[in-house]
Amino acid sequence: MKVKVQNNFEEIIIKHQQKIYKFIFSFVKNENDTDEIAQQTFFNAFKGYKKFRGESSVDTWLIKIAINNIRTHFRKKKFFSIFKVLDNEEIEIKDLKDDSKSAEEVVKNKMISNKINKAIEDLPARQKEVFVMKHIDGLSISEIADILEIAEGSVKASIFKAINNLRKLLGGIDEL
Amino acid sequence: MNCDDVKNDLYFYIKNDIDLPTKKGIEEHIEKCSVCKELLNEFSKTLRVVDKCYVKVPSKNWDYFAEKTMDKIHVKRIYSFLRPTIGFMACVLIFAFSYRYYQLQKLQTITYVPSTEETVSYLVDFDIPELNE
Repeated sequence: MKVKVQNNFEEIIIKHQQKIYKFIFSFVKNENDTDEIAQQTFFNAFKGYKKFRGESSVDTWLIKIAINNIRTHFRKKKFFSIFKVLDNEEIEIKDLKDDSKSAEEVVKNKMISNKINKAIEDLPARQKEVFVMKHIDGLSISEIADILEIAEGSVKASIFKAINNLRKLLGGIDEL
Repeated sequence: MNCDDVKNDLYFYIKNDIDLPTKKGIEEHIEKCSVCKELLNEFSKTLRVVDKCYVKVPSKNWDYFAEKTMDKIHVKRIYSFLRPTIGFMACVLIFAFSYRYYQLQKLQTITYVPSTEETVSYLVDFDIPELNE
């Protein structure tokens, strides 16, 4: 029985790991942290697998667990940032789609890219979650509403507020 | 449609992820409302900028990753059983050592035997002739 559960769960990991990994990475943007959160997510899912009643899809269930772990990660990060004198953390693997060759262009693009990521980071938690889920992960409104346990109207309103805030935060950036 | 209805649907209008009647409603409203028209342009511009900031998801060997995740789950399961046990054992040990220390302290107070030199110097004060010889 135990072996059967493990085998079933291994199948779940193989089937859903890429989506969950991509979902976590779209928030965290750091490979090591994503690895850790993804593994923690599957561990939590494994612990609660027997209690999973199939009311929502496995995808939604895993994303719900992942979003809780992401929140914990950011809470920890915020707490430990008090002890940091300099915030020298690098945001990883950010690239703009265009193939600019000159060093000047690369630096400029990197700066813009950092500013955009910082603007998304600085959004209020709910707006950030909804915006990333919709715009980057491409989840549907009903899926987001189900995951965050809020009304679909609230999801739409949060998306509007998020873009409005991004517009203000990115006001200085000209269109690339 | 009023401005509030249009605002909440602007993102979906830009992304063309909207049903036809709502799309038409938004277009009709934008024709008349300069505020919403300006907002639509600003939103389109913001989303174009955000879209160009592409974050590459690191490529992985997914079979290896799944295997590693299963291994981590096993380790964490063992650790999750061990943690309360270790905590309980630590509490028992601390209690046992504290109790033992307390008992020893008690015993030392009862069976305290002063050294000979201390006894002699104490008895000297009583002026016993045998001791002075």
